Amino acid sequence: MTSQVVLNGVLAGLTWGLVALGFTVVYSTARFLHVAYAATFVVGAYAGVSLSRVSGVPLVVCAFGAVAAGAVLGAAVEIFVYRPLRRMRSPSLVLFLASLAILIIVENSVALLFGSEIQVPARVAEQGSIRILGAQLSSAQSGTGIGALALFFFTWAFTRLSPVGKRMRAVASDAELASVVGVDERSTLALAMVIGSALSGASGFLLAYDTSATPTMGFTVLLVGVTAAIAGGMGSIPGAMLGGLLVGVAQHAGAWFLAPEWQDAVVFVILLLLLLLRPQGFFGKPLRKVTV
Amino acid sequence: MEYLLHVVVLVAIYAILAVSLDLIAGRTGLVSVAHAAFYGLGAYTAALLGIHSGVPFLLSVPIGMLIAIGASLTVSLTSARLHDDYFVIATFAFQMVLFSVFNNLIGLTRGPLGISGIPKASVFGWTVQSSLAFAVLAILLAGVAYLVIDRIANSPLGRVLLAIREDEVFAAALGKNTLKIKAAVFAVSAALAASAGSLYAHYVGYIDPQSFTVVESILVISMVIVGGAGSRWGPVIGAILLVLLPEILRFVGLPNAVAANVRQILYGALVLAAMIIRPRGLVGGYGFGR
Repeated sequence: MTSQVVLNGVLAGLTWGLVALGFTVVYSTARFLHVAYAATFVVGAYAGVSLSRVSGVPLVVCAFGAVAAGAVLGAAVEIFVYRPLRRMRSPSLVLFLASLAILIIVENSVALLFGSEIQVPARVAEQGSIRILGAQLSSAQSGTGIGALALFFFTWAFTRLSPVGKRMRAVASDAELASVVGVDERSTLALAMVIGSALSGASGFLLAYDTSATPTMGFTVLLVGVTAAIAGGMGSIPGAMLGGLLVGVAQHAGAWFLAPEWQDAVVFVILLLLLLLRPQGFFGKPLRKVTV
Repeated sequence: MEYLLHVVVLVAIYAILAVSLDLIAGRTGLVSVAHAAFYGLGAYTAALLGIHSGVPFLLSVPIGMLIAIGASLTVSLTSARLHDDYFVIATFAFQMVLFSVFNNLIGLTRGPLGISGIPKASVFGWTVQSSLAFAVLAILLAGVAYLVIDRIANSPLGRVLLAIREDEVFAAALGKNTLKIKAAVFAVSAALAASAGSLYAHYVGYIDPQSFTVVESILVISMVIVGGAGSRWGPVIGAILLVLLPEILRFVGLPNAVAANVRQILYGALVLAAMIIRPRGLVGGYGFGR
């Protein structure tokens, strides 16, 4: 049975890796806890799921809808909240608190508009499963996994190869130095926010497709994603995916060896241990309170 | 009259939560989303001790506080030399773990069913029966909590907290053991939150995990921010305001299913407005650096 647990964990981990990826992209450039990331996640999930409930809408369109919804919300938050706050020279704590407020507003608005009940998309393709290494893989799981991997590689290539991606990495590495060299910090931050939000919308849909969408799913998913991001090393893109895989396997192992209701708590305990013992994760830099 | 006393008790409980959170969030600059977890620890301790061992209120409060203090160390130690963002994440993780414990350790906490039949508070053998008596007890406890925080805030330790808030590295360079200090005030804050939990458990007689979620923590943060973090009366004013707000909403006649969501949207909107327009809050306190 362990091969099934590992396989399930790896597949779940691919989605967590995507969540972590979006968060790490935003955090490494914007340098504050953009917890409204959970809001773009929920909105993406609901957008994708709502589209899938309309007959005749192909799955790919639903996915795009989720990505677009997440990206639009992220852009709106960046333009209407974060930018004005930055203009007023607000420290990261203020941005975090504003982000928290937005998360609360958006999650409850979603609950008001769609009801607090779980939304399950109409099962478009639920046939067939494959056997790999003695374990079963449903078509939904494999579709989700492939989607997550594709988005991951696309993002990785984008940040490594495109000029825009390089600008993002420059700002993440040293914002002041980047601006000295001529990188426009404002537009780069906005782009990072849009990319991160798009990824969160996509992962929202992937997760909702696999299980379901609820208005309050944001908090748990955000924290699991953060755990994966820290495990891999904040700011590292391959790290995010690796951290995600680790978290996914840990979650499913926890569900198997303890009980399903403890699977999230297992992840969060891992987070606390990480912070205690190895906060830089796999590929991150050793963290210090201040760097001169 | 009954209703008025009920509101008074609620305000007292949330005032304890708000002033204790303000000690770390407003005065030391460490925002915690784990306050509801400590609140819950105190409540569950009082409930379980009360039901299984008949432990009186006067004992269950300090026991709950001790448990909260011990638990708080898991958070304060994890973020020893790390950026404050990681402290927030650690409190987030702690809050979620504890909610999971409240909700899933069914053998002990009865999970989502909650614990009912919590005996009424008794002080030195005299049972607090009437609503008026409990309101008096609640106000007394709130007064004690306020005084404790006030004494700390206006002491030399309080000034060190402000120094840590403004520039922790500088405070450490001046020779202050910032880790120990932060752990200590976080423990005090957790202990007071637990005492509020004990009060709540004995008041309502029934507790369930839904009262101790991260959303509840955010509510307390909202009270501190809207009232005015790091100020003398700000958290109390914030508690009064944000307790009265849903009660007023009730008179407007919103259907119950919708009321909870609308309430939270209002809290969120208030915090957002505060961050953009007036981060110092109503009374005018620490503007979180802006």
